[in-house]
Amino acid sequence: MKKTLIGLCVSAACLLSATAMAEVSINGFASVKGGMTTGNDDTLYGYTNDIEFKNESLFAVQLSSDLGDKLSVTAQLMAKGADDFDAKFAWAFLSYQINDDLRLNAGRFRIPFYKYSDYLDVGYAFDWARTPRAVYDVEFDTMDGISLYHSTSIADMTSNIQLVYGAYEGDISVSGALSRSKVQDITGGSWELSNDWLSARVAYFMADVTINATAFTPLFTALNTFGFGAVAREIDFNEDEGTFFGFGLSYDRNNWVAVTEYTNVKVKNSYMADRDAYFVSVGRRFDSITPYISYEKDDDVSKSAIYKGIPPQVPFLATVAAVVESQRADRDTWSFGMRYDFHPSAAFKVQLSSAKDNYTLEKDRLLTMGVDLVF
Amino acid sequence: MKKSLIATLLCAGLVSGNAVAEVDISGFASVVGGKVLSGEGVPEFGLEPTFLANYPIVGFYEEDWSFKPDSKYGLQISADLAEGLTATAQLVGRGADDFNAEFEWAYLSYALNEHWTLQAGKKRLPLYYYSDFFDVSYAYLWIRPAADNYTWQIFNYNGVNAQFNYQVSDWTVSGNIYTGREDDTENKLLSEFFGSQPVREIWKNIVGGVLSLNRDWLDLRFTYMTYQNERYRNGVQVTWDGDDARRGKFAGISANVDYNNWVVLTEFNRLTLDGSDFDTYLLSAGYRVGQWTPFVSFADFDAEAEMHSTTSIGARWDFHSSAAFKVQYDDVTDDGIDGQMVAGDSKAITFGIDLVF
Repeated sequence: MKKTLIGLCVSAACLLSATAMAEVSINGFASVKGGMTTGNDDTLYGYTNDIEFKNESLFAVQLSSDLGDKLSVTAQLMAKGADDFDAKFAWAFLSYQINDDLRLNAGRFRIPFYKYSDYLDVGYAFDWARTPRAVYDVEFDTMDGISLYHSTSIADMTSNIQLVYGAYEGDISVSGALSRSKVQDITGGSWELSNDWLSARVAYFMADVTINATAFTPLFTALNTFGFGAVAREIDFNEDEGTFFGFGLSYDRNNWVAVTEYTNVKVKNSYMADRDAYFVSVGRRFDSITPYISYEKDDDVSKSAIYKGIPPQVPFLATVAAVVESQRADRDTWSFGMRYDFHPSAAFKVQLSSAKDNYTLEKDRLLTMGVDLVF
Repeated sequence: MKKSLIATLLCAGLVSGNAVAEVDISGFASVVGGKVLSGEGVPEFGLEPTFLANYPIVGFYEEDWSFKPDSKYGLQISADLAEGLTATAQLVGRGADDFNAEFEWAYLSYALNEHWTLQAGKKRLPLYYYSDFFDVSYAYLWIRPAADNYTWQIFNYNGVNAQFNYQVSDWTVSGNIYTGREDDTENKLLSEFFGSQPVREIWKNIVGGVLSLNRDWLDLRFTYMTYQNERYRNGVQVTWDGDDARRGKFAGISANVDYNNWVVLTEFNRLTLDGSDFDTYLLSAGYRVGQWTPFVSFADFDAEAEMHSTTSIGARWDFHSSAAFKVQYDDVTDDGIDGQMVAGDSKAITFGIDLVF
């Protein structure tokens, strides 16, 4: 290969074929799902009363190649219905196996926020139609950076630790507008201890959150003009410290499957509410059929203190209050469903979810059906 | 096959039914992180300290660590259809473009004989020495070909070309003659970096050629291309002295030496557009010590008002048979005048791993 430094090989096509000795393995997964809400005005998870098949359908292929000498590369190309099936490298990273216990990854990978972070898009990996949204609700799920894995045995348990450092740069929806965002210096990790039937995990991350929320530009201009710049700074995301804490337990024994996760998400000096959420799910396997029931609780406390200092006669007090209170949430979601493993690598699922907003007392019900498969 | 013509259009199953071709998958990857250590930005444009590492894809670093601007993944799929016919496609996702997967190449090759090959489709525009493997960073010394030299806003084209390859005594003589067109409906460099309005950039009637002469330790390359440029800014056609189109002529020469562990790389290019000259060059030298190749590099862009240069030092470490670690320090001087500054002065550090598989 030395010679290519001066480019004796004039095309990349030639270069790649000359050096390509490594085997590339291909596998993948797909989901085809349709859903509709049961009430005329109900909306939930992007579905309406009109049946919709694109929302949660997706296709992905994963390519990996072992280059030898402890080095490998993995890339996942995914096309999501929600993005009009435009293909994207959802994951792509290099792995270096330092020793039996330690592995270093560099590139773009999933942030290990949740128990099912690595499988968010692989519906086949869990029983539900989707991961519980109340808990799985951070607006971004991948990062670019480096990650260190450590796995070992402690007594008869398996211990998996993943530490990460990096950043997320992309769009985050704020008040309905996609806004350029930078989540810098994401630092943290997860630790999972498991045996055959029980597993427990904790996760903690910190980061500096900056979001250019264009939806708020007029409001911030008004606040600054009238000497309430400090209020604007309490609302915006400008290198504000965000933290994530997660805890999970799962049980799988004698055909009973139970999973619970709790998360707490905060961003200091921003209008984002302190988010507390958990879910509990229980299922029972009957041969190829697994019925389950799950309960999700979302309890987000708005930061009303932000606008408490604004005198009542100030005209934009109502706007600031509305923005801050839009973050308040108290929601209960019940889901009932069934997974039917009709094929060794495909499952049919049907799920009915009912979400109740305890402030507005509105209820939205959603019926989802579909097939998840892996290959 | 007659009967299946209808089915061909309707049923993807046919693809597997008739696929007799050998399909090869290979690829490349670069994972690079970096940051601006210090910089001036361009206060006039409200630009913070920025290191524009890659013009065509608009990959730039700021003062926080970022792992996206130079990172990319590519998959190359080629099918040998036998009897001289090959189909090649390359799917690339770049961090600077949020890893959206795009077909950078999609072309057919037909080998006429042992010397000549005809190709048609979407290919890289082979203007510069490193054009063809611009994305395959493993193939060169630095983290990226010097930005000042590689300032092209159009880097692919759709068309036809003929490649040749002859052995003349000790010399390998190879080259490429091409013609085609590119219509970039929203050009990233012109729309996002050099402005804030969508720019449609058209290069039409492209005609060009490349001639390479290689022997042992010496490598010479000559390149020439002419094209007509049309441009729409925000949907309104741009005119130059009342004309809808202007002609550009590009010429370049490159001489590289790889001798006794010394590597010397040079490239000189001139684009003449509207009677103005845009001159760029790059000079690099490296010395191989075992698996390590430390290098120094200088690159320069010189036009009437846009002037910038980069001095770089770095090293490539071939720690693996198909992967290299690289680290590089770049010091950019931006002497642009009359609003023709690019990103201001900056000093930046980048490091990463390039590999092919």
